[in-house]
Amino acid sequence: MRIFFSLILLLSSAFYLSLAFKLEFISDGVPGGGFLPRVTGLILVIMTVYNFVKELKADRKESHEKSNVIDMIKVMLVTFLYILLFNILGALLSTLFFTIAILVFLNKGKWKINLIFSVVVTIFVFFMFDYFLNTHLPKGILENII
Amino acid sequence: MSEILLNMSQGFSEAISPLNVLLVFIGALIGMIVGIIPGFGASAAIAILLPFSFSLEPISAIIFLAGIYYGSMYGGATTSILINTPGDSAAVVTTFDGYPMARQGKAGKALIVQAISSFIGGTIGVILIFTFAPLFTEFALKFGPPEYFMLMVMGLLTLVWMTEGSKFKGFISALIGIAAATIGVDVITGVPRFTFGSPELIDGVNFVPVAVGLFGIGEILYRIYAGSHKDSEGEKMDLSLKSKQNWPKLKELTSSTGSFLRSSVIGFVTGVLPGAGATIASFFTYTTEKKLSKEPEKFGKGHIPGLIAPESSNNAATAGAMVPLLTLGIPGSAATAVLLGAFLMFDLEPGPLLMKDNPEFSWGIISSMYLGNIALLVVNIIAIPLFLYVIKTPYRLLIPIILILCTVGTYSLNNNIMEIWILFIFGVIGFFMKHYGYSPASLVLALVLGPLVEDNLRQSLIASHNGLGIFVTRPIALGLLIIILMIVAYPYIKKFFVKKG
Repeated sequence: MRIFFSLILLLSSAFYLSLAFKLEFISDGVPGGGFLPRVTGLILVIMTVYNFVKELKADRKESHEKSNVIDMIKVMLVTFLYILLFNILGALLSTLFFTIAILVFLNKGKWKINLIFSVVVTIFVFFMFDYFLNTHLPKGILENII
Repeated sequence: MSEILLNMSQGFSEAISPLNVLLVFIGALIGMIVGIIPGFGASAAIAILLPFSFSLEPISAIIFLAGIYYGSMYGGATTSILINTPGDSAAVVTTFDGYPMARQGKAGKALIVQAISSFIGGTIGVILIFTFAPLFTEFALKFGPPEYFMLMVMGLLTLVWMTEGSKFKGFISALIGIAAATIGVDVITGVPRFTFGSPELIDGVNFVPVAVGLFGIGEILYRIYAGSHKDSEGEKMDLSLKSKQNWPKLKELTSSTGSFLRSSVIGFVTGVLPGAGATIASFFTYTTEKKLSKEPEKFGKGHIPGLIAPESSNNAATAGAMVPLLTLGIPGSAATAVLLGAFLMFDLEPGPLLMKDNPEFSWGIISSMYLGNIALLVVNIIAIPLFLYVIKTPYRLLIPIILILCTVGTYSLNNNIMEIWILFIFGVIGFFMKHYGYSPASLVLALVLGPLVEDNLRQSLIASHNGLGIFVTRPIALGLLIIILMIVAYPYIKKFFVKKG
């Protein structure tokens, strides 16, 4: 993953630089919109190439607890779903499901506490933002009910 | 002198409205609670709680956010003392003597010494701001684009050069921030850049989802990866305020007057320097106190001056960091960068002009910092039992709360679902950055400074008749350039001499 991440940085930098070349470096004798992007992009590409080579040579072993990595990926996926459903189900329902799902994974077996905790947190957050702070959170399928 | 008093009275009359005092208290308390959570320091606290300030008047909002800034500095130290886990890097040194004290059953005493040290550091810091901010403003009015450009480069480089971990990767992180800042319409020529035709990107990358993603979600993912969610509950500690042994003796404090003063002043100066800040201040004053002490062998074993030094200095540094932010509009750290972002969101452009044209505003904020300090001293001592409660809350229960606050908070910014996706993406990037030794803080600072860097660089080059020559022909710009070169060269010179020696 370490090498992969440095490769992504390298490719994104190269992509950025290639786009920067389409912008004007000098316009009317003064630095144009492409001036800083080209300079930044160029340094970035040089540095990320060097970084990539360095990471290739570095020790590849990554010591980690497998169950932690799995837990982290679960949380990532649940968060992804949460955002996906945020507009569709509405903030209230999606937040409730999200909290329950996270706790089912991380706080196993204590379903009673998890359920009460989720309901309390969800209602608290929803009312704080929607009523107290006056931000209009999406209501989703509950549009006509709350 | 009379001018200082005038500024103070002006500031206090602006800051002391019932609402603002309440906001300082609430901000300080919430900041403290977020600061207690391992991994969450000032920048994360301000970023995550930013949405709560939107419905307020600008001055109240900034006062509230400054309270959070202060509060999180206090909170970070609490876990250093109680469970040897600094809330953020500025509280690392606090573990050196704070945790041994807690181990010896003097946790309550350590927390009270910490609160008093922070209070003194913060107080001296605020007095120094009142004294030096006007001088800074006068000086700053002479600055043109080349000087501003140099100052910003200096701030970015110092942050990259001084933070722990790889300088090289810190540099890459800062460049990514600059690159991200160039997305959107070019303000000088009006040409859209890197927008791919998307209307959402015309105004550029909003820093809030990026900062909240990197500091909030990225940190949570990292903590899960490190296994914090499996930690069991902490052990029981005696923190009752009624028991006499939990209070420091007056003599223990008065004998350390020198430590208080030195650490506060050094802390303030370090905080003013762009990019240096609270972490460096705390390390620096700790070593200074140890060197000056008659009993250096006691340091690291629960010695009170060893706790006073980092705590006075990191809070004085917090005050110091407000000087470049308010007088120049240049943040020196990730936390003040997030604050600057908040200023800009309220259409306030901090800098010498804001200080001059709108003095009651700037002084109001500074005065509120003093109120925040008093609030924190009181809250901190009363809330010691509450800390225990937060610390005993298992991390796995905090995880959903923080993730929800990050998501809903970011959404409430512009009611824009796109921004939550940016939040998520930067959360994942933040995890990898932290895990592989890159610097999220440098990225955020660069992202906020990016447009200013570009604008000032191009303005300088337009005004210049000989290209980059403008940076060496103007005396202040040249002076700053020399300082930058010294900062860059310092680690190598040190290495060279250490090797030789």
